[in-house]
Amino acid sequence: MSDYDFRSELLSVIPNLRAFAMSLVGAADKADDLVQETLVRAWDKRSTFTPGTNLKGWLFTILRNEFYSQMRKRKREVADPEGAMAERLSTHPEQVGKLDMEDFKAAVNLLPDDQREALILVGASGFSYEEAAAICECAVGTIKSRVSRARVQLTKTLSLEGDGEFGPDAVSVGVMNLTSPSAA
Amino acid sequence: MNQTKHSRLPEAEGDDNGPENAGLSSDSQAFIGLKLRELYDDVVAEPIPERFMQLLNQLGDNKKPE
Repeated sequence: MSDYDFRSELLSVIPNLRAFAMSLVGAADKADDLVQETLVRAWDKRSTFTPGTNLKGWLFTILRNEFYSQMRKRKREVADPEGAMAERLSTHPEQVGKLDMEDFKAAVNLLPDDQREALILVGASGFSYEEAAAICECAVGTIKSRVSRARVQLTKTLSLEGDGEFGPDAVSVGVMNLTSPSAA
Repeated sequence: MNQTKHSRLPEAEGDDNGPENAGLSSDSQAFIGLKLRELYDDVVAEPIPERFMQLLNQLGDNKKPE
């Protein structure tokens, strides 16, 4: 692959890299710093990439490794401890029926890092369990388990079902409206 | 890394538990999937920041091959 082609391919993956980076670090400027570092590293080691293989997965692996090596250097700041967020969410039952994106984003950010990245890779980035396992350098079963636990945790944090404190009806209706074309 | 187990479900680490075994309703799963994609795709849809165009232009030989 020529340098020109490689650069074009890099360009095409940038939007996905930014979205993945945002899910890892939260703040937009820090996420873009991470993407920048990833692009530079990818360029430096471009001779190790095998043309025709999954460039997106290759770049995600580099970005993830970069993220965790930065994490080891400086501990991630926890802006909103789990308890505080759970409290805030639970004191606004009127919002349950029309859960907004900020609440959802906050709930995702509360997930442990390994669960959040597994959920994003499989649920949003479009990777298979096998590809996600390769990126995270772990077993496929481990990815499945993390995704599963992430979904359970999100359901609890957002009170989507279960304890009946607010009743899941409002959310269920909202979901029906979102997912069923005939509900319009 | 201080990894805490949030799930109280009796599922073992590394088990072959697909999401279908999480015991969640399909409504909840669909809702989470939908919101997750929306969150992600919002960022994907943003225009590529100028800093990355500049960076790519600075990397190596900038000329289109003959």
